[in-house]
Amino acid sequence: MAMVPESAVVSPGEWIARHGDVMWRFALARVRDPGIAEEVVQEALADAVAAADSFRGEASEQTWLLSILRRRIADHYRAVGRTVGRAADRNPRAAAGSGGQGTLPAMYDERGKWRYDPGRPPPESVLDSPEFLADFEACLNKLPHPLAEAFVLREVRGQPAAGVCAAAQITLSNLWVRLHRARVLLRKCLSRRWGSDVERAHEPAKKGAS
Amino acid sequence: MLRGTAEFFRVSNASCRDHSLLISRAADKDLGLGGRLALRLHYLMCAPCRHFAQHLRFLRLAAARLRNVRGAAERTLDPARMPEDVRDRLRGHHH
Repeated sequence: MAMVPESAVVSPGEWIARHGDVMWRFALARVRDPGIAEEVVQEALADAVAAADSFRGEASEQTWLLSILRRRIADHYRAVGRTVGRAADRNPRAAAGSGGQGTLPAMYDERGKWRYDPGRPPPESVLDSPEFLADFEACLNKLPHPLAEAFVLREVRGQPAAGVCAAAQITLSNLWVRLHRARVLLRKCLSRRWGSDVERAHEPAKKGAS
Repeated sequence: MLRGTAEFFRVSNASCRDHSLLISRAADKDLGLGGRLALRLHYLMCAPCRHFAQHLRFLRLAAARLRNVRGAAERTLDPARMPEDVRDRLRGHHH
């Protein structure tokens, strides 16, 4: 192991024993795949070993490890997002709809009025369909990471808004904007297969986009 | 009461674009009596916003359903604890 100041205790084994569960939960809540969660935790631990001398005990050991993990998760989503970005370059219209940065579709005219009525949502009975839930999950996975994080923590995990803000390290108004964008994009994504006829007529299904 | 009245006029003068953000916000925060009344009034006049609110309720139900369905699968995995095999592999990497 490299030279480390005596104040810093470099012991990945200890970190795993003491903070393993917290890191695991943190990663799994954000990447939603055990394989990827393991990967990012492993990378974060390697980063922590390499940067152990940056730990000065200002934050708790756990906070420090989670901040490193957070960066690794962001890197993971950047790597995934890059392919989305290239597809968006080829199809600017899809970029506006699916939004690498969470750009909202053009739902309103210049006076802020709806371009068309989104119509009623699908009947609640579709919630019993495994097909619908699979689509819902797929749409969730297409959201830009910060939006997905906000929506999953708030709506899927049912955490109170304040808890989500703390977990994502954002302000309350930031959270509202993210949740709103997530909801609008999710609704849009779902409407391709589960929307009203009116809505589908306005937005013909885009093939291959996002 | 005064604040409620101010909120009422603020909300009733907003465009549909602003209303949809408010509708979304109402899912996370109490808008107060004035805000709630103004939203209700707007729903009476504006079918798209009314439908948008229904869509948000539907999304919330869908998310809850996902939690219940996937929750059963996740419990076998126990997301609260790092699985032992993962723990062992991570230890192996850092030795």
